[in-house]
Amino acid sequence: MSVWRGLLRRPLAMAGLVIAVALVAVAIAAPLIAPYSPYEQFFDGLTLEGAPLPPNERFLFGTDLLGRDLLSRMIYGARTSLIVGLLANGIAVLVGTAVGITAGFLRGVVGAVLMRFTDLVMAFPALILAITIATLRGPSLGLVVLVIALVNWGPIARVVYAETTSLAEREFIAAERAIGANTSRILFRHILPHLLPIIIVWGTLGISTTVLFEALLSYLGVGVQPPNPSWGNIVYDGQSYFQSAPWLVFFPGFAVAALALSINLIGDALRDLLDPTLRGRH
Amino acid sequence: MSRYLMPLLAGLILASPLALADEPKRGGEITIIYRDDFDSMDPAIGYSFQSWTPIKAVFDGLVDYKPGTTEIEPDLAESYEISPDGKTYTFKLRQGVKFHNGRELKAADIKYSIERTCNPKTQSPGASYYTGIIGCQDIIDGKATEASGITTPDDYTVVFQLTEPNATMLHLFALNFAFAVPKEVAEEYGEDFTHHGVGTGAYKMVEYTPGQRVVLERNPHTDKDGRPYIDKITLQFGVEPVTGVLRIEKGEADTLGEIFPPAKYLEVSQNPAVKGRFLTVGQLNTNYMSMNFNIKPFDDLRVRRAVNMAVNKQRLVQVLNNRGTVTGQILPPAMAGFNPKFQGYPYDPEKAKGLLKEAGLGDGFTTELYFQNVDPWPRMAQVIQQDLAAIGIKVELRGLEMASLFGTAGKPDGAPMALTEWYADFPDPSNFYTAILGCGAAVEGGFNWSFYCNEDIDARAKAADALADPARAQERIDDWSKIMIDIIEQDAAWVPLFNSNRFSLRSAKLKGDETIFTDIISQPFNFEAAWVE
Repeated sequence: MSVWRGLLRRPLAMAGLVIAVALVAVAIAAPLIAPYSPYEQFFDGLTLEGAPLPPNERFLFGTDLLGRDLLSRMIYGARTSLIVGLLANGIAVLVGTAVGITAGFLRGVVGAVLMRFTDLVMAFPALILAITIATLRGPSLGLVVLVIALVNWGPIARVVYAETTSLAEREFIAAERAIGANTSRILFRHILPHLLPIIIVWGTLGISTTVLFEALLSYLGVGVQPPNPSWGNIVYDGQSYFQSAPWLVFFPGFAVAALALSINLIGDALRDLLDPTLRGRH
Repeated sequence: MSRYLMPLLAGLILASPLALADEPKRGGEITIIYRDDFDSMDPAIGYSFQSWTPIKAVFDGLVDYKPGTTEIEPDLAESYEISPDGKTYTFKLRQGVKFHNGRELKAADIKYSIERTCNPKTQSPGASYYTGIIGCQDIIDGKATEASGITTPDDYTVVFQLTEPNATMLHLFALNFAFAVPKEVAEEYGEDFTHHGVGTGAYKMVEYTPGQRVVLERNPHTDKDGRPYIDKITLQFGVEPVTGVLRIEKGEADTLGEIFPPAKYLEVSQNPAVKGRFLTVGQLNTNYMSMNFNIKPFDDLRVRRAVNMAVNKQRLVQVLNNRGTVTGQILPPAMAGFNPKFQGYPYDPEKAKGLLKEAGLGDGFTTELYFQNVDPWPRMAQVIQQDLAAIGIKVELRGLEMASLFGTAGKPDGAPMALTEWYADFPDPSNFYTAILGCGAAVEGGFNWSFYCNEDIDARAKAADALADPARAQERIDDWSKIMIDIIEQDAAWVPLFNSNRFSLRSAKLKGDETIFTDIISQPFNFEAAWVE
């Protein structure tokens, strides 16, 4: 398809794609490539004063505050972070878009009810929601995904709603209606493509904040519990040691940035390729 | 080498004429950094280590600790007398002591202040300490507003009648909860007394801006052999400890009122610029792991002993950058009754496995460990998790925020194992028993998280505390020492882990004897005893 060929012609997008695929591969193949167990606290993984070791031949990314291999923890942590970053965000984007587009296109009573419901969800403090659900159901990764999706779909729905209402007023939509196009054709062939740029921006921007939000939830006892690693909780645990052990923050922080950037690059290219107003230019 | 040379050099410097520069002198001002606003500056209510010392600066009790020691000396009292049966305490007050509002302190104020602490309307966390005074329990139960056991024969005499002799009574009078407050001010402000505190202390509280700062000014009427020295002390809220340390290093603030941030420890301890101003201080603290007797298999002594032998405490302390001293017993080294010869259970995973086998748990078991979700507790929990895994115990970690932890671990069937620590409220071994190991505390909402209750030990503890005769003080301490060792040796009620140290960092201008900054009672230091260069 032309989208794929378009991607191939964009080196930045290809770079993004390579990084993203590599990260997913690392997560899937974690047990095969991790040099050590992510849980083992090495007796010689700390100095006599209990300080973590900087990167060296044995521990390529250094050790963490308990003398565990940071590289192995990051490789296993990729699983958590990718699941949370991609899945939670994906759900949020799907739900937010569906609600926003429906409300924006139908308007009237249905639109009002949907949007007031969105306001209600957005007004509810995310952390209290998370803690309440965790108390009822016990902490788990699925719960983190659910909470993040619940928190994140609201703003997306708002933005999509606003954009849809303005699109629905435009002449080309009126023209479509005049020639007798049905609702699904208008929605999927005309409105959705115009919405893609915003959806992609929101979807990719969400990834880096989502990974860190997961760390916050874990800290509150909702999400991934120690000793299980995630990029977010590695950064969280290490942040106050930034001066004495910068590698604890640098490596996982870099990984989060790489993930967000790669998704962003792909998203950016997809937007260019799919945006009807840009089609055929450049 | 320098460890031995330094005191020698210090001695030489003191002996030289230069020593004059190190004489205490009046004047100057300092800033002390805190992360959050205080729980309260009301002496009946404040019960955090942050507010404990500032309250001592603004208010006084009948007796107090000599700065830098755990010795009790009269303060508002001029002298005191204990009856031979140990049930009557008579205090003679100093005359001419004035509250900061100018009114003279009378015996009725002492009576009022302790009754106020007992009164449930005050909601003092210290009320239960005074139930030994006749009438306090009636006030707690709402049956009376005055304690019949506190009488004031004249304006400068106050007499306390106790239900039974209590060897720790003088310590209880030295606690903040017994400090004198003026009735008219306390009643005018009610719950807001915390922001308008008026006492008799060495410092007047001239400003309390919630969330920002408390400003203390030297009370010109106080003169204890020249103390206090510093004119103005600002207690600054809202600064992260890590930032606070940077500010102290730069000389913009003078010391930290919070626990020294773990993340800065290695860096600061190796910084030659702060040498002599960064001190490691022993505390009346023990970190331990409770094992709930109500939850299987911890009802089995062999299992509790096995857990004791499986934890590698040396590694635990190493992970915490050696910020503590490994221990095998309940009492910390700085507490009377500590037995330096008792080592407790050795680290011996093989023997631990054998004990589990004997208990019929050769295949191990699964259990849960609860702890507070703030560094360093999660790290400690993970080290212990790995140690216990080595003898076949699979531990699931449950990190909670403080209030939930207290709620869960305080339930009779709440937490199989929990990590916690205890800081003594006063320097007496009994304070390490009653609230955390006694039968009376093995109730929902209590702090006896092991739900340990040995009737025999409880009776011995009561007998020891009834030995109020000062002449038998040593005998009493010896009794306590044996009780504390039996609790570990015979019952293995806890896994004692280590005694954590406090770290004191101060600016170059804040001066005082080293004992002032290593004070066990007042941290970061006794405000009355330091001075500014």
